[in-house]
Amino acid sequence: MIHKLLKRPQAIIGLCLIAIVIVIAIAAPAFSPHDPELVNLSQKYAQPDAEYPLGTDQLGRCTLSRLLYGARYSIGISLPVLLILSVIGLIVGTFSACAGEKADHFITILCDVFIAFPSLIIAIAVIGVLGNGLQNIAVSVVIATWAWFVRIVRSYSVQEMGKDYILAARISGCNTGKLVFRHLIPNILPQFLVYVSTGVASSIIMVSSFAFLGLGLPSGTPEWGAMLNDARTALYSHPELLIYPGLCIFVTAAGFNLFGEALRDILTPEEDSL
Amino acid sequence: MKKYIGKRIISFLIVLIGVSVLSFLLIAWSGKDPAEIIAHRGVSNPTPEQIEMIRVEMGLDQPLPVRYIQWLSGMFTGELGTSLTTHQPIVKDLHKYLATTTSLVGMAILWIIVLTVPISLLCARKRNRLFDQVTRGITICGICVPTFWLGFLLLLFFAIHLKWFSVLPSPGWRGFLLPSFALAVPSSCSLIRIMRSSLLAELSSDYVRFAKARGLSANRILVCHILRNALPPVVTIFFQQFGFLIAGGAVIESVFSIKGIGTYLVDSVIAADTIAVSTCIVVIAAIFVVANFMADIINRLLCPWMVREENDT
Repeated sequence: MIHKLLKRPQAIIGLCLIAIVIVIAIAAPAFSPHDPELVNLSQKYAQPDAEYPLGTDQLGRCTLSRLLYGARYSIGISLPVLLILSVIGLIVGTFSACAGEKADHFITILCDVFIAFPSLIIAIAVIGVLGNGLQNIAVSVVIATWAWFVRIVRSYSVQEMGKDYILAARISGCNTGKLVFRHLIPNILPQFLVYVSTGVASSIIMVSSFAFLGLGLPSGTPEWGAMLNDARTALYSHPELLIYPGLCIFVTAAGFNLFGEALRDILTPEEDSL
Repeated sequence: MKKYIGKRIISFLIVLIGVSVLSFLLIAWSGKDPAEIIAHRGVSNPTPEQIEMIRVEMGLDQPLPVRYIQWLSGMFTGELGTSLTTHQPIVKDLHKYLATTTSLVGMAILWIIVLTVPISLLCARKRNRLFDQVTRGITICGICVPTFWLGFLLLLFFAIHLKWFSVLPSPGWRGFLLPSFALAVPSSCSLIRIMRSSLLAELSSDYVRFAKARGLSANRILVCHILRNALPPVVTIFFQQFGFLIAGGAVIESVFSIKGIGTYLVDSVIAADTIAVSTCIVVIAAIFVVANFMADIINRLLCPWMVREENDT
C-alpha cells in the first residue's frame, strides 16, 4: 500500500507539505530571525528587508517569525486532538457495533444529539464555559467532533461485522475483545485513516477560526487565525499581512487533504474502473 | 411511509429534548454565576446579600430541573430576560439577528445550488477530461480554504481593488453578495465532489444500460434518469451543511461586519451572558435537527423505492 501511495503525485505533494509544516513547527526557534512576541514600536509596518524578510506588523513584530511559530499552534493542537478523537472513535464506535441493541441505540442517539450542534457552535460554548487556554481549545474541539468519529467507525464496523471472516473468527472461538482488536480494527483502519487525515485539516481550520474570533488564546499569540484578526485594521494599508497567515492555514490544510484524498483513491479503486 | 415518518418524528423529538438538556447543562455547569455577573453590572462592588437577592429574583436558587423547565417555557413565552450585551430582551435580539443570518444563509444556499448542480453534471458528463480535472483541483483547494481568509481576499479584490462593493456592509441584498459567496464556497466544493461521485456510481447501473439500449442520448439519461437517483446522498449532506452555514456564519459575519446570530453568540460568550448563549445554541441546534429531518423526508419522496429496500433488510 505504501508503494502504491508513493506512486501518486497527490500523495507525495501532500506528504511533503505535512513534513515541511511539522519540521517548521518543531524547529521554529532555529528558523525564525526574531522573537515572535518581541514588540518594537519603532519598526511598525516595516517593509521587507534583510532583517525582517516579510516585514513587521502593527506592533513591529517580525511577521516571518510569527508565521513560523504559528505552525506550532496549528500542528500542536490538531495532531494530539486527532489522536484522542481516533482512540475515542475506535473504542466507542466498535463497542457500539458489537455490544448489542440497547447500548447501540443509546450511543447512536447520544451521537445524534452532539452532531445536532454545529461543531463551531459547541466549541464556542465550551470555550465560553472553560475559559481561555490551549488545553481548553483542544478539549472543546474533542467535545465538538467526537460524535462524528464514533459514527463513522460504527458504520464501518457494522459493514465489516456482516462479512464472512468475522463469522469464521467467531466460529473458531474468538472472544469479542480479541475479535475487535485483532480482526475488526485492523480491517477498518485504512478507511478510518482517510477520515482522520481530512479531520486534521478541518481541525486546523477550526482552531484558527476560534483564534480569529478572539476565543481561546490570549491576544498577541502568534497563531495564524489570531494574526489575521490583528491584521484586519491594516486592510487598506498592508493587505499582505492578511494574505500570509491565511496562506499558511491553506497550505497546511491542503497537505492533509491531499494525502487523505490519495489514500482514498487507493482504497476505493472501484470509482476509477467505472 | 407513514410508519417511517412516525418513527422519525419520535427520534427527532428525543434528539431535540437531548439538545435542549445538553445546552442547558453546559451553561449550568459552567461555574459562572449569572447572578454575580448581573450584580456586577448594576453596582461595582455588590454585597453577598445583593447577589443573593438577584439570585432569588431570577429563580436561580431553585433546583436544576425546575430551572430547566422555567428556561424552556421562557423560550415559548418569550420571557428570557434581557441580554447583557445589547440591553434588549433576548427574544427580540434573537428575532432580529436570526433574520439577518437567515438572509445570509439563504443566499449562500442559492450560490451552492447554482454552483453545485451544473458543475457536477458537467463533470460527470465530461469525466476525466480537462473540465473535470480542473474542477477536481479547484474543489480540493476550496475545501482547504478557511472561509474567513476567503472573505478577506474577496474584500481585498472586489471592495478595495475594483471598488465594486463597500467594505462595510451596504443595505439590501448587495451587502450579502460577497459574504454569502465566501460562505458557500467550501460547502459547494464538497457537494460537487459528492454529487460527481454519486452520479458516476449510478452510471454503471442496469437502468442506465437499458436506457442506452433504448437509444436515449447521454445528456437525456443524465438529466432525466440519473440525476434523481443520485440526489439522496447529496440532499443529506446539503441539509447537514445548513447547520455549518449558520455556524460558519459567525466567522463570515465578523469578517464583513454583519450583525447576525453568530456574532451575537460570540459577543455573548465573551460577555459571559449565559442565558443568551444557551438560547442561541439551542435555537441553532434545533434548526439543524429540523434540517436533517427534512432531508430524510425529501429523500423518501425523491426515491420511495429506498424505503422498501430498507424494510427488507
